[in-house]
Amino acid sequence: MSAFPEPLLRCLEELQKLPGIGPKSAQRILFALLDRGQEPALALARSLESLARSVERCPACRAYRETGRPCLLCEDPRRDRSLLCVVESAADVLLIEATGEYSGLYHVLHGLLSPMRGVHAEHLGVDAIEARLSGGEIREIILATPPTAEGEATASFLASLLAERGAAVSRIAFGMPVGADFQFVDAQTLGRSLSGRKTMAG
Amino acid sequence: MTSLRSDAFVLSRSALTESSWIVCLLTRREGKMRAVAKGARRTKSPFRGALEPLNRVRVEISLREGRDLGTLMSADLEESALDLFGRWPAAGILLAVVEVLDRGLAEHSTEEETYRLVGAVLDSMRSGVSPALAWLYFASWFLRLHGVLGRPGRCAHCGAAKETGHFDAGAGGWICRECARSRLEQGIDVSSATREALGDVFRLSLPGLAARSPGPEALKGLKAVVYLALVSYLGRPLASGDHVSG
Repeated sequence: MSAFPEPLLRCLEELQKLPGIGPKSAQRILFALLDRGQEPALALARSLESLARSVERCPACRAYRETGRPCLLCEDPRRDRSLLCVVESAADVLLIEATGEYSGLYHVLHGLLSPMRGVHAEHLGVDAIEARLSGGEIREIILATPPTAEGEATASFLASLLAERGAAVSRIAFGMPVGADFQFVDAQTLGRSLSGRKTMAG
Repeated sequence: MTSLRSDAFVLSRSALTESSWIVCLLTRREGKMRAVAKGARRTKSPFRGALEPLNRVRVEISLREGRDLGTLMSADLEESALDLFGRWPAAGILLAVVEVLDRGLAEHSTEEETYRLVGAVLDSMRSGVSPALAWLYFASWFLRLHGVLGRPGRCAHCGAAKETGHFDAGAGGWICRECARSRLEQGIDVSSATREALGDVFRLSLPGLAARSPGPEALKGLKAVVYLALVSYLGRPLASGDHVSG
């Protein structure tokens, strides 16, 4: 017999379905909510319900938008419509936006090619990229998947598929982190930094 | 508590906690093993980029008596496969190789020959052998090493020493025409050119096979045979079958 009432156990179970949340984290979150009283918990519940009901994937970029409203990324007239950056997840869009170095359009894959984990080519939304390319505006596709085996496989698959569609296909550079010391960088990263070197204007 | 030091290929990894992975390895000495890589998911992981699939690493694994799951103490990268994953269709073939190894090997069985096979296939792909040929070589030898795909010869069903031009995994492999008919043609007919190509796979090194350049019809037949045999061996279709089937 459990020491906790049924609604509490159900909530614990739901929280543990989220990435990075184990039994202890779930308990911490749950008791913090209960300790704050009824109103903050209800406010969170309302905002979660609103999120579930009023947010959907944009059919063009596959990032999230308010249901039935224009996508803030795709419909922004200040964005460079000749660039398309392909990323693994919607969270990566936020990271790239935070750099302030990119103002083009996005395509969110929602996963990386990994047949053993059930992610196949048809899950990556390639048709949405092709639809964008057929519009004729895209001049360059930047493949910004991570430098892992799955990230590289996905990038090489997309590059082979999109190579003959008229747009240039590029891969983000990999190498030394800013402020890093040579002594603490692994050989693989250093090797990539060397092979991806840039010519300096003298 | 014992400690194992061995060369190994990384096969796959799955999240254990927010900061740790369970890593599946093909070690040279002990075959397939799983070990916990503590802290491997952290940005400042001690394992850095070493634990990517098909990287060749030198590992030290701490093992407790009676437990299958070890603890990965160190993993030094000897050779990275990341560049091969950056080339298509090579990457698609490697996804299939990883799947066959991960699903098709029993844990803690001696797999020295499979270890050497993986090394030979990766080396040949790096030196420019076609990924499709590398796949056929890998899959044929993997199946042979695990007792599934031998040379065509004696009928696996009736035992008679006659021409075995039919492959039927359910009947034990290569069978004669009469047995194929009695089994209602459950397998596939295999041309003599394909059977000859399979003989070459088992006789030559991968670069030697590439130099011999088997014809497209023979390779197509071989592709079908190894796929059928692999599905039978693994007990289900390959998830990465799109990259290697028919």
